[in-house]
Amino acid sequence: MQWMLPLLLVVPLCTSAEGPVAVVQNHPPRLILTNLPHILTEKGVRQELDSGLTTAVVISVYAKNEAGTKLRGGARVDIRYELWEEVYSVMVSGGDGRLRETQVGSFEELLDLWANLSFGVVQDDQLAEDRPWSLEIEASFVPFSQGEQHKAQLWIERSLDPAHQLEDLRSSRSTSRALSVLVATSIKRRAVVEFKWKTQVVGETFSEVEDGS
Amino acid sequence: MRSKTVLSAVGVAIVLTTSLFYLLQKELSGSWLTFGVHPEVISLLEVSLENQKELARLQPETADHYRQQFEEIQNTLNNLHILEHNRESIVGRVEVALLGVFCGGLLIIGVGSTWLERRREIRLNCLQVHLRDLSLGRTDIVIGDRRRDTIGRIAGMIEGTSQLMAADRARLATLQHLGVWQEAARRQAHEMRTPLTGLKMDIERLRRLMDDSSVNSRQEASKRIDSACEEVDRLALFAQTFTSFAKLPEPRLKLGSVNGFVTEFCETYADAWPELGVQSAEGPDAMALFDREMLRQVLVNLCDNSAIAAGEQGGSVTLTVRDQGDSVTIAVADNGPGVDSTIQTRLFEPYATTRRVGEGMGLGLAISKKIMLDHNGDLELESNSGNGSVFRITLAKKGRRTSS
Repeated sequence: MQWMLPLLLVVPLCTSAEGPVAVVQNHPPRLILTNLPHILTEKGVRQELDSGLTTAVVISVYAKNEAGTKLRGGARVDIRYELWEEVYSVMVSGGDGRLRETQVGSFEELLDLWANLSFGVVQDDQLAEDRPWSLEIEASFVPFSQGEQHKAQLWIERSLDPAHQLEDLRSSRSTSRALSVLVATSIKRRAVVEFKWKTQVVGETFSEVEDGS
Repeated sequence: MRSKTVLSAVGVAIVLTTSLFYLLQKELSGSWLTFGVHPEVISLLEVSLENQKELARLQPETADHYRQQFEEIQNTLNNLHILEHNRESIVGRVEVALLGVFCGGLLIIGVGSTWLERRREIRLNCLQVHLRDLSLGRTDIVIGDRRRDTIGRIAGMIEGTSQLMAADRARLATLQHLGVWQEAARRQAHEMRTPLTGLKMDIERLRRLMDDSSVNSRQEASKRIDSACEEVDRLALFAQTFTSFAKLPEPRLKLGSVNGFVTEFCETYADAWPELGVQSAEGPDAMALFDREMLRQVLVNLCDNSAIAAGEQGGSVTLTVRDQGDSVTIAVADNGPGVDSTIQTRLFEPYATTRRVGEGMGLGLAISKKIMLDHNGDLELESNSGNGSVFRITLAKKGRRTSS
């Protein structure tokens, strides 16, 4: 039954704190998330942040208004603890295409940064209409980046198939090669924990919102 | 039925062994991964990271070196963390792969076993057919199964037994054939020796009488001459018997009433055998092709045999005519002791007789059989018991008789 554990971990923690606040900015018309909930201290999240791997917080937003118009967007926040410098590197990639990178010296500063974080998730002219929007927001914590995944796959292939180190696949035993490929392709980026919220937003709540903390 | 049983057994074996394998390997699949990501290993790496930082702080001039080592250790640690994250996925896939290989192997074994079993069953069925042929006395069995296994050896034994039977049968036929000729030669020699001996004695006596001119001598000489003539007649009769067999004429077939012929025969030969009554049974008339003279010869021969078999006690012979559609049969039934079982299988062969030497050559039934075969019919022993025997004469209605 151990294989069911990842499923249990992705059960949405809907009973957690209130979801983020979503606002609509008209110029340009985009949907912005702010007042992110304090989820960095949740069990399963905290231990990943200090591992030295890049923890990606993938935020997905599904918006729908009374007219049936649907919009979809998202953002990503990469948090990595630099073990040597002992600082947290934070990179925010908004759904509106904006990119920000910063560093903080402690976990408390990271929490503070997170609490004051705001970023655009959807940029669309339909947001300028004065209609209320229903939002479904999902936040997934993936424990490592795609680059780190690829490095790990190569490392495992070399470890299980010594011929791979010499780049001489002809001397590679078929069983070693098969095993290394089997194990390497089993490495997936799966979310260790997920959060879901539902909220409402009315258009033109704020005419202008400052990005960043 | 047997194939279904084998398939069921193979299926059950596959399910049981697969379940057992799954339970056992499940405990082993993750063990190798546990060694790789052992918590002590990760702890040591983390300590090593701290040591590199401390060394860099203490020896700033070589900080770059320690930084490089730090990053290498961190990379390894990161990879181990990622491996640990995917432990369940990796173990699950390895389990599935092992199970697939195992099931595939079992499937191949099962299919292979079933195929081999089916082949074996086919070979055994073939052997069964040949064994049945062997039991029926066939001597030309060729199986062609030359494999060096139990079934191949059994096939070889069957072939060998068939060949032995063929050899024995040929040897027996040769011995029987020689035996027949030996018996014929013995009878012929006796038939000829007796009159020749008598003839010689008469001639010797005549030689002595030539020197005696008395009246008694002349009378004696006349008797000896008569006796010599009798012996010569006996030799002539002996030669005639062989001529009758060797030069049987072709029957002159004419369409006639079989019932009428049988009735006439019974009236003519009613008193021919003093101790044997000859009668015919009532029945519908039937027409057939036959030579009256030769058919009469056959009936006389059969009645002669019945009379000799009945002996002084006497008996009766009943002739019954039946219409068989495309042929007509005459059943000749007597109430004698029956045909001796020792000659029953070769009853119609020349010189087949149970009589003593001098009481007959044993050619009567052989001549009768030949006559009926020349009629496009047949002569057969229909039934035989201690209460009598029945011979069946078959006559064709048309030029070519079909089987009765």
